[in-house]
Amino acid sequence: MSALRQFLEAFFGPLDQLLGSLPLMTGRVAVALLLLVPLVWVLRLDREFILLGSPDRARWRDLRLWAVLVTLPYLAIYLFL
Amino acid sequence: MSGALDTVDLIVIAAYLVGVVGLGLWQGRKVKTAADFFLAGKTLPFWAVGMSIVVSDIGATDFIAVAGGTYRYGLAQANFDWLGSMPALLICAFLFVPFYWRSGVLTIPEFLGRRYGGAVRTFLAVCWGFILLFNLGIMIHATAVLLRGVLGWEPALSIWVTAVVVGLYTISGGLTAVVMTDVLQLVIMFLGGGVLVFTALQRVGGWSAMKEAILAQGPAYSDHFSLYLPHDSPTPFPWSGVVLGLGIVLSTAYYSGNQSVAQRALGARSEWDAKAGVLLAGGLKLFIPLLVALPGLAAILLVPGLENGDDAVPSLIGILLPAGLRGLMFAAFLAALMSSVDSNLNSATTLWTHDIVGRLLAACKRPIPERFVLRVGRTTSFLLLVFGALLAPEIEERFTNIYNAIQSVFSLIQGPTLAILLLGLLWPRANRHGALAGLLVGVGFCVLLNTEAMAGLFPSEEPFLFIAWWSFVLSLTVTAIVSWLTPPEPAEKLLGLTWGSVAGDPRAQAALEARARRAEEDEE
Repeated sequence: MSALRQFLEAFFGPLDQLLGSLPLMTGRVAVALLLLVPLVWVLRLDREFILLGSPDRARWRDLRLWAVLVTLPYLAIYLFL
Repeated sequence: MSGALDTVDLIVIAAYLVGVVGLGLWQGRKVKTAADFFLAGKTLPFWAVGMSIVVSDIGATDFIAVAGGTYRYGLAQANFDWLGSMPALLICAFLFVPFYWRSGVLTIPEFLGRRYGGAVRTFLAVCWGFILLFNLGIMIHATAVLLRGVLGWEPALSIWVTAVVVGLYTISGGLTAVVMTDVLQLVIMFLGGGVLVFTALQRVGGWSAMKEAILAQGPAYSDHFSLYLPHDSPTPFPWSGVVLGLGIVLSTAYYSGNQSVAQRALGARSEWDAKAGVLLAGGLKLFIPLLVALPGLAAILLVPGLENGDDAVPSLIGILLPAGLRGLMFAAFLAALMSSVDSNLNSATTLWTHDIVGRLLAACKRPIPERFVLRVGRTTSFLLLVFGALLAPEIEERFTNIYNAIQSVFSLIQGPTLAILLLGLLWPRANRHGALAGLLVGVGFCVLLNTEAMAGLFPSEEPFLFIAWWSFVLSLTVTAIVSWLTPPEPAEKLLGLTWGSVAGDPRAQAALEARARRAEEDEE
């Protein structure tokens, strides 16, 4: 078990140092990317796929609009709080 | 809760309990078939799906423990509700929900069984079956702790009262009763939580005054308003763990690979309602930290020097709320806890009935009538509730922090499950050998990292975020390598089970429907 621990320490140690050397701003950028990348992917989805099962084609039923409205407050919190 | 309850509080609580049980039993009259019981007859509108997803997620883990965590560590605790929801709910709504909804499955192990074969389905069903049972015990225990704290009841009495009240409507009404009582419980929770937040903020002079006063308390509080803590922070929430373990793995795995969330989407009346419900949940989750974390911050000023942060909210209620509102707050607590118990029970029942008991019965090669499946579901539900109640006192002896106990249990299986789910949907080359190897190695690695011998390997004092991340990465790697080294799945088997074929190919949809019909016929 101790040999396994040594192996894992040798693996995680340098990664740990690397992450520790990054400024806190890296976290802010990473979170912004985590929120933006899936949103851009959703916005590029086909409208037919988004509206499958919808009883009508009203504008408010376009779930890409919902995705933007729901994601933007999270983005604001993580960029400015 | 340190303040004693008055008669008016008890009337509010009694009205809440009668209302919830009555609504649940009334919904139960609609249950005629197994599909009604497990999937609400596929009739749920998007608003019920969304509200139920949110309230099922909030329980013992939030009102008491999140406020306690905020009291100790600050706003970084809110990451679990904010980054823990988005972007995971976006990915769930547009990547996973369409697959689950169209494939006509009841459970996630069943879906993975179609993609990867029976061994993966059995392994996951058994793992999830026991995790949900364990979780049920934790939830019942948490409710009993609350009842004991407020009413002074004996632990055993508190546990069995919780089990009977929840069992009454969950066993008779199935998913419809659970979801509709969840809607009522969310309203009660927002009302009760909102009253406490409003009163606490008023007492400390508003947000700006509170922030100024807390930061003035010294360097120990300098990070209390930051969502990002340094990587070497001894708290459970360093930014690196939050981004990798929570934002990428645990949140996505929770919303996309969790039976209770998937089941609500599967019970929606259309694919659009399922996706819209998941997005609505994302919108509602935005407000949860305001309800559960803000009181923790206010308590730093109003009840300073608490040894255990989990006492923050009960102490606040004792000093801030008058009679009547204390009852409403207690009802909000009960709503949060009971909604988690009923959702967990319903999901555990579906999984045990469909993936374990049902398959054992099917192995006997005897035709199983519809009414018998319904009876098996209700019996399983009853037995799980009894086991959960028996497990609850054991949990009290072994775990001091309920929230971390839940996270530790989930982190064992969530990373590996997410790895094979993602590869299964996005990479047609992933096969059954790779998935089984990835699952076994990933879960084994999680168990290893949780042993005493590996303590201190990560900077955080509770490293479940890092464990989730690395088990995910290892599962992904092992699944990919073993899949490459073994023969691919036949193309016709994958039709409708991978992203390229499900996003708009009518042949894929036809294949999915045919496969769902075959599965139903096999089970009949």
